Amino acid sequence: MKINSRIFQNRKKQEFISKTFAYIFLFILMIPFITPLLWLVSTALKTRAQVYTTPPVWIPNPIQWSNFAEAWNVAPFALFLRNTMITTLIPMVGEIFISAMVAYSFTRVHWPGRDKIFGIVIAVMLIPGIVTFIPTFIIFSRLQWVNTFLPFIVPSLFGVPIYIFIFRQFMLTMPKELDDAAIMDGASTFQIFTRVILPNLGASMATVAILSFMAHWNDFFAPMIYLQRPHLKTMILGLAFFESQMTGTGGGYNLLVSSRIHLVMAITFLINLPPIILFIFFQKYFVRSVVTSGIKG
Amino acid sequence: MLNTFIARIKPTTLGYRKKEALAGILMSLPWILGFLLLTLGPLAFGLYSSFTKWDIISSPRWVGLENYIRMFGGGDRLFFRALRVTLLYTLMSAPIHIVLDVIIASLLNMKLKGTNVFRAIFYLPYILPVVATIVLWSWVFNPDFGLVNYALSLVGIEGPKWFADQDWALFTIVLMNLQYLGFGMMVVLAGLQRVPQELYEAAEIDGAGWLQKFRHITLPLISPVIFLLTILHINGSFQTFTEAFLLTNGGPNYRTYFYGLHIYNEAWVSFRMGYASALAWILFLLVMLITFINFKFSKNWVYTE
Repeated sequence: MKINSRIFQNRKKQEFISKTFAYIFLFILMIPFITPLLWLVSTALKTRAQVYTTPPVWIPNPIQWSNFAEAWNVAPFALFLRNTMITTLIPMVGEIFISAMVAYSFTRVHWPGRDKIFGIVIAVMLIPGIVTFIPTFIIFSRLQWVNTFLPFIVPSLFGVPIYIFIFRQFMLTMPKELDDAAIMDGASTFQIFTRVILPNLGASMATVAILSFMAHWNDFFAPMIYLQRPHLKTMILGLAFFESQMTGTGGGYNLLVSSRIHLVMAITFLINLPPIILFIFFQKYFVRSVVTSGIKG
Repeated sequence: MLNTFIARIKPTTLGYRKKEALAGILMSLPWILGFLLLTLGPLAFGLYSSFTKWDIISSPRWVGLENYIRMFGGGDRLFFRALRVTLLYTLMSAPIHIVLDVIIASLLNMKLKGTNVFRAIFYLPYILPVVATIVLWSWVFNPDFGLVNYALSLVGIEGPKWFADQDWALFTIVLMNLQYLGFGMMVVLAGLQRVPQELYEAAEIDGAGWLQKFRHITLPLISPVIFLLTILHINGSFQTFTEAFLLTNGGPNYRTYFYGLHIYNEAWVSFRMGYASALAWILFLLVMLITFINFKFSKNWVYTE
């Protein structure tokens, strides 16, 4: 008895030590992840005088809320926001609906060659984007689609492999009785999809919606190539453009040595806000997206 | 139109299979068409373009292997430079990423209080827009007013000029991009959570320490996950572009001249679409080759049940 309890004591002590070390490690590792973001908020709220001080000021005094309004008006960000809504929300709806429909046909409908073609869906994900981007750009520019929103809307109507995959994983877990009951009621295959499957996609729908929103909201390369006119720019382009203006490098982008860094940070903060809010409220869907795409892929 | 057409396919018992198959094909048609029009077509078209000289305004002129000869024959000094920078970046960043992924995921898997908060903080930077992150971090790494050099000055070190220093620029990009390890961390964590606890308990009875448990149980069982991350990471590293484009423009002295930036410059600055297509195809083949080699090698270290 005595020996047993000593082993138990030792184990508890060991566990306490290892947990303490784990906490210390985690706190140290966390610093580079969280500090810049706190720094971003701090800088965005500073007066110009407090930006360039050593040692740095963490709590701005006074807190300059007007930076947001001022930055917002330096470039036409209201217009940029509208453009971003077009390049984000319309493709998002298209991608969700079409990807779900395609996933349905790959999961719950039987047709010859189905599984072979699904193999191609997976393989396509490994092709580096730039390889198809250049020829697609040539084609789109021949179609006079440069400086329109069509390069964002049209491709979304063909479905996206990773979303098809996520929907498929989810549909595989839905009970087959759902389809059977609808068939009894005389529903066609397409009606089963719209009436039975689509309204029940719940978690996978949220996951895909978030991934799609983020991909378009965060995108830089395609908008930079296709939206060259100033009035068509998105928020992200606006930030890059704004930054280069602030730094006086005039379109050459390059390093940041701005005299109005607090305004640049204010816009940066606003651009980060939607992803952060989505993340706070829908964290579990982000986790799910990683797990389905990572583990099973 | 598609809707009404599909809707008309009513399931009668006779020939239902046939109708179902037809509906299935019709419903997967968007993706199949997309594959032909937006993937296979462009791939073939890009391959064709790579044998032409083409400034996009006039029509393409067939030049045979000229682009490839220029690339490998030394006619384009920047090709090898870009390849070197990209490889160097991949070799530096992939191992650091994967080791940190495993370390942080293991710490998070210890079931500590507050794990969810830690996990969220490590993951958060991964979901933020790359451009916003770059703008922020160029400020963090600012030689004169940035946080990093201030922190270093506290311990008496005079920090380098980071992105502006040719010996540091590439490594600074590696450091900056470490903040994206949240994705890998989550994947490893999911892998760790699927390791059966009984294995650890059995090993403990045999008197195994944590290192032995890690070496003989954890590592083999999460090796498929590590393998997947390696593939994804290499694939991503080879397409690095925005950092170089926005921060350094490939400099100083071409030390951060990534392959992606070279393709961009050829295609959209010099408008040599043919040559840029050839560069892109070589990138494609290279990524495929590396993936293939990885798969070949995986038999030696990836544990499969």
